[in-house]
Amino acid sequence: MSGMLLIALLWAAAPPDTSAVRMVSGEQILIQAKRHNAGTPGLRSVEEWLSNRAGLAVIKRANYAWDPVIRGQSADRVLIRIDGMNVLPACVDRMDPATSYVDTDNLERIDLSRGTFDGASAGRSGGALNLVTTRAVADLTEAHIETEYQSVSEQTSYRGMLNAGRGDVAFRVSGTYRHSGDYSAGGGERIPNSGFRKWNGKLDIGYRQARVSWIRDVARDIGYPGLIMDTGRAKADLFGLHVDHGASSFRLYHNRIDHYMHDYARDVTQRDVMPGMYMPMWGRTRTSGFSSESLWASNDRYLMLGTEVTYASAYSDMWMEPLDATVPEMWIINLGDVGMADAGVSLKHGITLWDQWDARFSTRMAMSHRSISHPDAIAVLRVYRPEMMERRWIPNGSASISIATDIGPRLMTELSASVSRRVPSHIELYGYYLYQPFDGFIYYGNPELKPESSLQMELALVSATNTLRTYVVAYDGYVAGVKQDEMFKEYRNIQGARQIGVEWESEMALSESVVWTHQASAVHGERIPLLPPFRYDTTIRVVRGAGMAEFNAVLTGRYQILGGMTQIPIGSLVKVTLAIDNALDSRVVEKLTPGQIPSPGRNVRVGVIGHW
Amino acid sequence: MAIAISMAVLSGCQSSTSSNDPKPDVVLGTATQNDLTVTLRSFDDAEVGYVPIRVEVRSGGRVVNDAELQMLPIMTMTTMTHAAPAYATDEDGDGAVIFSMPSGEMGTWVVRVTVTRAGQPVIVDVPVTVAASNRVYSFQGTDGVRYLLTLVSPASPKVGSQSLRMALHRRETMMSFPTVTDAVMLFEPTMPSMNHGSPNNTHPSITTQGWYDGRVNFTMTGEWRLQFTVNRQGSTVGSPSYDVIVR
Repeated sequence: MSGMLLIALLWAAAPPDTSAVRMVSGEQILIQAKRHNAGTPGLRSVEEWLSNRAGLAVIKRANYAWDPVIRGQSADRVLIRIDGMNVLPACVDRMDPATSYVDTDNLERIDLSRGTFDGASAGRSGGALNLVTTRAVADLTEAHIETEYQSVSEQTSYRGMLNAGRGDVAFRVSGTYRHSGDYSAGGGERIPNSGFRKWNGKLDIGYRQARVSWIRDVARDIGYPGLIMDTGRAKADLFGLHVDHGASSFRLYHNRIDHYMHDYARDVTQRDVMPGMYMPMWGRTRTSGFSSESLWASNDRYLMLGTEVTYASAYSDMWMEPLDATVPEMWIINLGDVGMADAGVSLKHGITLWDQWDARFSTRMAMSHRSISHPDAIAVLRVYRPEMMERRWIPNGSASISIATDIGPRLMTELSASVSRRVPSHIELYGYYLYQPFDGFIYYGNPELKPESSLQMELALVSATNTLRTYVVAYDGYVAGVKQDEMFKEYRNIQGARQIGVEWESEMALSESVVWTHQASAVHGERIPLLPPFRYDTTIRVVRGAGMAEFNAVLTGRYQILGGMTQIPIGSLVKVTLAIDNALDSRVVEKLTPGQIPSPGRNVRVGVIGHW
Repeated sequence: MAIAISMAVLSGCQSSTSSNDPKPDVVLGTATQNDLTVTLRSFDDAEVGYVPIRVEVRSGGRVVNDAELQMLPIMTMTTMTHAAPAYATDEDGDGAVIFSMPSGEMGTWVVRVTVTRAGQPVIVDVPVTVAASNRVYSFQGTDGVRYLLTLVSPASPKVGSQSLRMALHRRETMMSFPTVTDAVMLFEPTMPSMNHGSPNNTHPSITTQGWYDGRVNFTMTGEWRLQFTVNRQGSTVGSPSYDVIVR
């Protein structure tokens, strides 16, 4: 397969060495594959890559940092890793999902797991994303520069990359800068407070089978029109040491994220929520960890052993500064020095049982420790839960089994089942006074929450060109906000939450140079908030030599969007990208956008790419 | 501002004194009558509200330990004189009074200390300057009785759950303010600027010592309002409120 978006449905979820045992639960979305040969659709964000996959959606809080949704679940029910490293966002209002800290220039592929069937999600019921960044390559010298202009927000983007290496040493550095103004919605309405500035850089140094990496991401003045605050500054530093040794890999990492948001640019006198005051808010997280994977494989079986130890801390507080000078300032501690320690062991075993029958078993056993140590935060939470414990051990884990068999000459089916226990997040356990724009309530945590359990089953039918999946999920103790009064909700374990969904993906080669893809997904649930609506996405892609063109349509019950793009080579080193998004300038208001803020309208993108 | 130890002293929870406990080393006033010098000390300067006081009596420079002590706060105004509630003073000289209004142009306070030795009382009026606060609410009840409702504690409200202690007195005469022990008290803490309150509070109820003890929860810093409803014999006699700053 070739093209700007090369989708590889893997017969095995984990490394290629496991391909003897067929499974379809995992998926890899290749971003950088044959980049300079097959072309790139321009400076798309990670979230844009994800938003048109079957079963995936995004929550758009702004024109920036969209929050991934897998099978209707988001936030703490989706595990997002960067190069296998846990990254804990610092904003308690989810303004900085972990995906926002990687730029596509650094991204080689996204490992996607839907549900809990391959053990990758550590019990998160929605699934997992692992953003795998590009490594420095030895004995290769190449450079890449790129610039782009987007009309809808007058966004300008600049990107550069240099890879060099000699012998055992490899070096790669890359950086991206974006500056966006406020965008216009379909029909021309200007959306105030929707611009941003963002800089992202990555340094990667490799020596033989080891490499160190450093990602720095700094974003400023990010408008969130659907929320009551904007981000003043978000800064992330992600450090990693990665070592491969034979069929084993090890990583040691540390990351630091600081986030500052405020509403100084807003008219706070007119809003419904906490009017008449400014509310600057700070958040920080620190995460350190070690993980390893080892693989043993033969012709008809493999065994993967994974270990993981992490410790993360989180703090957040908020000042309230009344415009009325006679009213004293107020202070809230939203997360009072929360500590999260986790240690787990996972095993995954794939085996060919007999001819045309394959099976995979996975299990993960973990122990988690949660604590809160700031005395003011403890004092507040004790108002609601006088018997709360400041420290808790919470055992958790997951187990799954998948069986695949051929049911026709070119048709395979796979049946999977899994059980998992998710540790409530630090927000659900210890968060305090967190405004949720989707329902207008202020949430507070519940330190006495029990783990959330889920039972999932999935049936997949796979042919050479189509994959159809249907799944059901039944929860025990689903964690959701339960109304306490007209203003507050507390996180509680509720019963009766369940969901059912179906996904379809198709990729047909109409000719050697033309590929037609379809993705569709629908999900229905009970007692589960914010499920995405039905969505159908189709693309026709034409690749000729180093040039390409694609036409895309998105249909939902609410809106239709048409778009297209082309890349035209100019000589052997330069390409020009021309694209149009939302060509009909439709006014699109998505269900998963807080505040029902419309999405960008017609957008013309013009880019120039040079690759040496 | 009265601080926590005063609560222990006056609630009968007289635990052993540790070296870390604050000491009543702020002199509120001193006066001499005959050969007796009386000094009043507290934990902070006096202000309207409940004020714990340690009475020290010296005679010829030596501390007097064998006297019975009584305190009565008296406000002298241009047209009248009145007293305020006072609590018994123990053998160590620890007692308390409730100042119902601040010193100023309206009038001046003395704490009248009666020192009784060998059956012979000596009255010493100790001038005390009282600063303003909003911890005492004086109101005319719907039953025609004049009441003083005093927010005794928390003295320094903090975020979290803490004990709430109220004192309710009625004006029997200008010089007599007995404790009211048959009231039913309800209250609700609210934060007017945030338009919410706090959950899981406990209404104050009468104790054997004559306090109304409950529990109040503050979920953030800032200005809170404690809105009380005082009922007697099935009827609401008043609805006083207090604005406090939670730090």
